[in-house]
Amino acid sequence: MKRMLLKSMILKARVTQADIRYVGSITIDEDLIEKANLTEQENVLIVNRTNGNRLETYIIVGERDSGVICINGAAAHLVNEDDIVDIMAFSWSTGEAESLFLKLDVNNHFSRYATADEL
Amino acid sequence: MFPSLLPAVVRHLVYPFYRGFRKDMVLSILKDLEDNQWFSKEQIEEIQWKKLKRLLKYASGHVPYYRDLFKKRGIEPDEIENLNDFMKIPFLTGNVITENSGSLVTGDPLIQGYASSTGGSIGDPLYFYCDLAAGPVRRANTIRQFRYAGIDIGEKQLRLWGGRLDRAWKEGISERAKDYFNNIRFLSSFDMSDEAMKKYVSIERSFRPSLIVAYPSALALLSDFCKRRALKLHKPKAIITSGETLYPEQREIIEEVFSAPVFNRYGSRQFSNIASECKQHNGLHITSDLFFVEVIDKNGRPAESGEGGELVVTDLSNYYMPFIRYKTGDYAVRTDRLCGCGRGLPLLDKIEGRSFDTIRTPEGKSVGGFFWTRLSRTVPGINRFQIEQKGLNRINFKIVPGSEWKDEFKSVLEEKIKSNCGDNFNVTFLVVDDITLAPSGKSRFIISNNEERFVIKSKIHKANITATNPDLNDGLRIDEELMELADIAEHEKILVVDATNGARLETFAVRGPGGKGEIVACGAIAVQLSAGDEIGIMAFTWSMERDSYFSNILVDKENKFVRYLTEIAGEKF
Repeated sequence: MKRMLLKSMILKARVTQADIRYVGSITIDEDLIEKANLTEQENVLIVNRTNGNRLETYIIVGERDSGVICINGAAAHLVNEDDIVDIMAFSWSTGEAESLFLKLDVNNHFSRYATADEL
Repeated sequence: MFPSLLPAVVRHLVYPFYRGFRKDMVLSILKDLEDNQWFSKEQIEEIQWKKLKRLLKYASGHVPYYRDLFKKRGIEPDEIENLNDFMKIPFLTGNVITENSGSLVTGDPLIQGYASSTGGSIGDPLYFYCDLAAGPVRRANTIRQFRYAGIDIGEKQLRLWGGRLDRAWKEGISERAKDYFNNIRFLSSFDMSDEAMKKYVSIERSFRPSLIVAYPSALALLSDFCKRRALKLHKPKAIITSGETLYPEQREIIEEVFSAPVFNRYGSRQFSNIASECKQHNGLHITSDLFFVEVIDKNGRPAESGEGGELVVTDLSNYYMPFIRYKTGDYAVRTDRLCGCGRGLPLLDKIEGRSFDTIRTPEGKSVGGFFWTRLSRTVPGINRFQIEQKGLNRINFKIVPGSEWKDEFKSVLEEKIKSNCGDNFNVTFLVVDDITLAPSGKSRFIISNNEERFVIKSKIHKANITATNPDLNDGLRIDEELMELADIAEHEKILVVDATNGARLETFAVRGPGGKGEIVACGAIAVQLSAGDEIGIMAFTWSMERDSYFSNILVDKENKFVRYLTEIAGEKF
């Protein structure tokens, strides 16, 4: 049986921009996209640790090493600048989960991979 | 053609004289490298870490790209003590090199470099710089690795290669003279016609090489040619294959036809030779006194012994344009096994071409090169072939036929493919005159696409709810013309996002009358969506294909189609 398993999770990213007037979805620093084994257009679940909101959208590639985490468009009703969010992606798998957990520094740059035990 | 020189004359006179004339220290470097290989694993790691720390320190001091990167990431080269610290440095990729080629070069006038490029076996050629001082180190390493196979300086070498030709502008009398005095003859892997191969056979017989260096695909083709015609060849002492993945079937036929052992070697234009087999044929010894080689699994972590992953290479000798944690795109299995030959240089197993060169099946199976090469030999008359993945359950199988090829073999091949890849796996056979080689002269016989992911496939931007109807069943009724433009099917699951009030909900699409621009929120969704709300409508799919499958449309206030969109970060409509 195939299960939908967590594939990647970017932990405690800080939202750098949230503006309803701009076109939607989430823009993520290309370096983080690569390190989290994600791709443009990929579906992600965003959970807002600051206000509890949860939403699904898809990825647009942002400038490498810019630390950009930008949630624009309709989703900006649920997320504000400087909110802390987790970003998750899932995959269909028959095996066991091999999830990647990314820890970031204050500037949203990759700091290290965390193990599931430390979460 | 002049008669070839005696190997002893080249080894003891010509070569030492030439090196002395160049004053490049190749022979003294060679002596050090010869010593290094017999050190213990720990001693070699000590040498490696010393060189690595020196390189990192140099890069942070003299190379603008690394200076900025380390500063931005808070990386202190002096504080890098182990692999975990080292892994904080982001990977270097071809794209990064192309975008930062200026700032990746040292500002230090004492270090000299020269421009080089890859042949572009995969995608576009990569342009980069080598350290002039690394040249002799690489030359010495090549000699050390020839000696793994029992071949010394001056012994006669026949090369079946393509790389020379993409550097044709450099070719000239001096190159040819150098080859002559080094006892090297070149054959071109670009021309593998019957005519050319006949000529290659007669050159091999009269030149009587001790060593043949070749692309495995080209040499296997020549072996096959000789086997079918029962042509006898001169028996060399050793054969070194390099430049492409060596498959077991290729090794088998080459060793059979030449009656000589094959030594596999792995390297690239950026780094020269990274790993080589010794006489134990027990994996490839990594040149870890010159390179820091990591095997990184698909999650970006170091692979365990026995596990596979992408090869990530740091060149410890290139100070002109430091390659630190460069993603090669090649795949290998890491092993902690020690080799019976006594060398402390660690081993790599099963190096397989580009990590993405596999074919995926709908069941999620990944079918690598080993299957396809074996398959191609189950019927006669396939001179060259190429497999290209066109979708999750379909491939194109291109064949350059030989005289023994028959069209009825297609069904034999198809049956074998289906039994391995599933009954729903579709094969389109294309019998062609030729398959274009990469500019390097290598054959790239698997062209695959990426893995399957959950990706957006349809989006309607800036639509407006025209009415609500809470009494109907749940669903969003959409103008069917818009559904067609956005490639949304009747009853397809959609995500509706409300830009007016922030609501997000999942439901399905229901076909509404075309051309009227009506979008009606029906049933329970009408609680959250009101007439006049601005909404986005998205649909996702599991797919290997991206871009081309993304139907992304913008509509106006009347829900009339305006244009297709390509989204760019930060764009405002």
